Amino acid sequence: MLTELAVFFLLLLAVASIVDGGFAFTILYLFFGTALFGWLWARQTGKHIRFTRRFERRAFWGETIPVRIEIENSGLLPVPWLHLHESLPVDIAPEGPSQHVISLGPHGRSEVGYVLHGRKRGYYTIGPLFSTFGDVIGLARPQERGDSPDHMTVFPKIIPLTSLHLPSRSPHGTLRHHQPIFEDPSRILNKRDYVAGDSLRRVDWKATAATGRMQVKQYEPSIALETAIFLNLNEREYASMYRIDATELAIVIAASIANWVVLQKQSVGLVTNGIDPHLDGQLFVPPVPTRKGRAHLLHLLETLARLQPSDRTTLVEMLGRQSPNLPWGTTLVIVTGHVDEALFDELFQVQRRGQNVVVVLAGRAMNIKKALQQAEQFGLPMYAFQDEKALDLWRR
Amino acid sequence: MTNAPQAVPLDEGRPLLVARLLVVVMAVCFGFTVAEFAAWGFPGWPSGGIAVVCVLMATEAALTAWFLKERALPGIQAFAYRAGEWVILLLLLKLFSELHGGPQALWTNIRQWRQDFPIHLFNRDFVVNVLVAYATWQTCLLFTNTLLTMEKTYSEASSTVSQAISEQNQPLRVTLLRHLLVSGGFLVILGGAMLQTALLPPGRIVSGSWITTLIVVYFILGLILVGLTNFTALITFWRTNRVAVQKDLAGRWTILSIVFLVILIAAAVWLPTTYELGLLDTLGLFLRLLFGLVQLFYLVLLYLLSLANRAISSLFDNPGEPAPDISIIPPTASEVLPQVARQVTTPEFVKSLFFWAIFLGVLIFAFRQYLAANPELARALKRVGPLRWLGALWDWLKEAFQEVHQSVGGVIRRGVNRLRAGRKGSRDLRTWGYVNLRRLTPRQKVRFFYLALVRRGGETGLSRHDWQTPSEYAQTLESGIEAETDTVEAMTEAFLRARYSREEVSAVQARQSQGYWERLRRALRSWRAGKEEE
Repeated sequence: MLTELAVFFLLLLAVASIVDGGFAFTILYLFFGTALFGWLWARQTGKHIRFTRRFERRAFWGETIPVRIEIENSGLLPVPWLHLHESLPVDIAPEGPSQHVISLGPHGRSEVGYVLHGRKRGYYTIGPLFSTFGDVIGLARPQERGDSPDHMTVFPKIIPLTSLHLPSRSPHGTLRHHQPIFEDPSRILNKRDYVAGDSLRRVDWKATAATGRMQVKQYEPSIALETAIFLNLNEREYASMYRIDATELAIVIAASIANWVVLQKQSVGLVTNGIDPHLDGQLFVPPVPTRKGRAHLLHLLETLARLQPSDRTTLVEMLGRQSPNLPWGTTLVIVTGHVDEALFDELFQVQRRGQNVVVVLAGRAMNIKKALQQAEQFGLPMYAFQDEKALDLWRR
Repeated sequence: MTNAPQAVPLDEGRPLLVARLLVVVMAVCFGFTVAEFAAWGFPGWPSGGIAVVCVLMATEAALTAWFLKERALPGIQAFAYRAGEWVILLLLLKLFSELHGGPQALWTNIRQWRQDFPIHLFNRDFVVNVLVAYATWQTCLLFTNTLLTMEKTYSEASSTVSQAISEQNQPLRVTLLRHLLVSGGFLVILGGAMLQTALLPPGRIVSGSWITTLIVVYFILGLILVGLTNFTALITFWRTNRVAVQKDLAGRWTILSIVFLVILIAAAVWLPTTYELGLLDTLGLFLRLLFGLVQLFYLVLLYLLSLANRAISSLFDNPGEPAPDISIIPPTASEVLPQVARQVTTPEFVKSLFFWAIFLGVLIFAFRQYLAANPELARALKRVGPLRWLGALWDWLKEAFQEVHQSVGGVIRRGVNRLRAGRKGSRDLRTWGYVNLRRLTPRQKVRFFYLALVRRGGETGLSRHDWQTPSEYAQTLESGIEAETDTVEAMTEAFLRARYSREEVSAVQARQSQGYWERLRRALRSWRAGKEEE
């Protein structure tokens, strides 16, 4: 289009030079002005447009996340049209339009928005926001600008568990236990008459004085549940046909267990052999130490949201490296898609170190029955869940 | 003011209808100019009523083009239709040509057909009328056909969402612009020829203002047409891509287009179309003016320095002895400007400056476009010695200018930052033990509320030990105020994020932290009250 214009301008100059054609200059000004000011207008628009994206950067699975984009024109020139095109991941893409066209006055502001759907856990890039703008006549080419993206985390799906029983040998916690060996002297359950054989340390002297009979304190057995979730995301240790579903299920199970443990006001940690795209260049995701509280749970969920399967480390290697660092009595919840002899041997060693082990098989695995029998032989509690619905076992 | 866009279906039919009307008016302007040229070239040609002919021909062309497009007649039928149409039009034009002299003239002409049919049928008046009418008709048809093709493309795009309308539309707009420039260029040549007094027969006067107005109006309408098609193309693209369009976009677009065109026309009319000074004179004068300004600045500086020097020397010299007069009176502009400046007035100089600047700008623009269209030529030119040196000189100048620009910009930026930092430092009231919450950033606010919690916790009896991490201190707090465990954790989490992460802390998060802090303060107060009662 500009080449045609250039030829036309030369013709006008020639006519104006040869004949007394002042009008040719007027026409030249009209077209040259339109092209020049159109270009300058679009350039100025590009300089003075500011975008601010507002949204919650963390969302739970299934939530809708409203995103607002504030657009501000800090220039004196109006913006006749501004086409905004947000580049969005398909997994959380909105159902409505994510492209908008607006017009702004001098120093004008506007706001556009769309709603993302947390359909799938993950760490998503929102943007970049591409904007196209130009003048009204259109002789100058529209200009484009790309603005920096933001990130958002969709936590994995959490299935609320109610009847999960994890073994523990850590005494003096907040969870009731049935074995008297875990009696907690700070939790007085009852008082009763003294019988021969009771330790004098248990005598409640105040109650004895008040009742006139020897009274002894009865303590409530309690345990502390310190849980470390070992999440196996080695893709070679999942059945190849169901790898994607099985690894996702494993993450859902890990998130649900972590949620349950935190709700019990107990501490939970995470060790995994998956990769975190957020940690560029790191071979391993650093283990998340066992801590209590909702803030810690959010930290765990964030890590789980970002995890991707890899084939770098096997579960056995991970267990051999990380389990010795855990304290005595810790409960190791192994979430994996595959069990074999090597794993059982390693788990047996873990048990011998005084740690508890629970194995959770996620997804469709081969020879589940055989695996269950082997686990029974080793004295390991093992659960197999083929899909999310099977988790109802822990919800009854 | 915020004005969120909604998914408003914009209709491109209305702008296209307006575009068709514009085309008819443009064709009439074209026909008028051709008629003026005919009247200039064929003295004695009766031009009365030709305006009506032009209007009718343009309307007819627009309507028949639309009719043929609607019917989608095959090639032969369309040709037959056009042939029949032109037979009727020629008959009507013949009637129009001969009826100038009344029915008697027509009858006389018809009787002459027996003697010399071609000469009397195609006499001068009739041929000129046909030429004018055909020019109008053809111009209208040219634009209308392009518009109809656009409409067809758009209607097809409406049913095919994934169609890349922008790619299809651009060549159509280029075609339209090409029609405008070619037909307009033809008009410019005609107008230029008519305005050439040397070509006029003695005693003839041509209304220059009427002709130039016609041509300029033609181009203005052409620009509006280009703008309309731009709008139509864009809204079609947005619709096919399901883009949510702001409700009042069309209205704003119209207003901005009108304002833009009015300003442009005013500027085009105001800007000089002739020059008083030649290019070299203007350039010389401009350079001398620049030199004069630099000299003036230098003299003013020197004058100020001499004043300062005199003031200082008066402190040390004998007060009874007068200081030597070293004052320099700045020269006036007329002294600085060379002789040639006195011969031309400032408006004339400014007009010439504008004129030559635009002239050179257009030439450079055209040359650049030509080189862009012919990259091989551009490469060959770069290999020519002197041009290569010129190019290298230009690059060096550009780099030097950019470096100067960057370094000066850097100095200014650093200075401004230093000033800002100084102002901030002077405003920092923490040295007075006072923090103005409103001046804190959201991140600072979150940290402030957490530190307030730590301080209040210490006062209440849940003090933080030096070795405790925020998470460990949270456990201490939770042991005291068990009912607010979640709030303590949320507060700690917010603090950790604000203190140790690079994530953006929003104002909403800061307000949330304030809410947590107020809640925990109440909890700590009631916990302490309970303790005191015990």
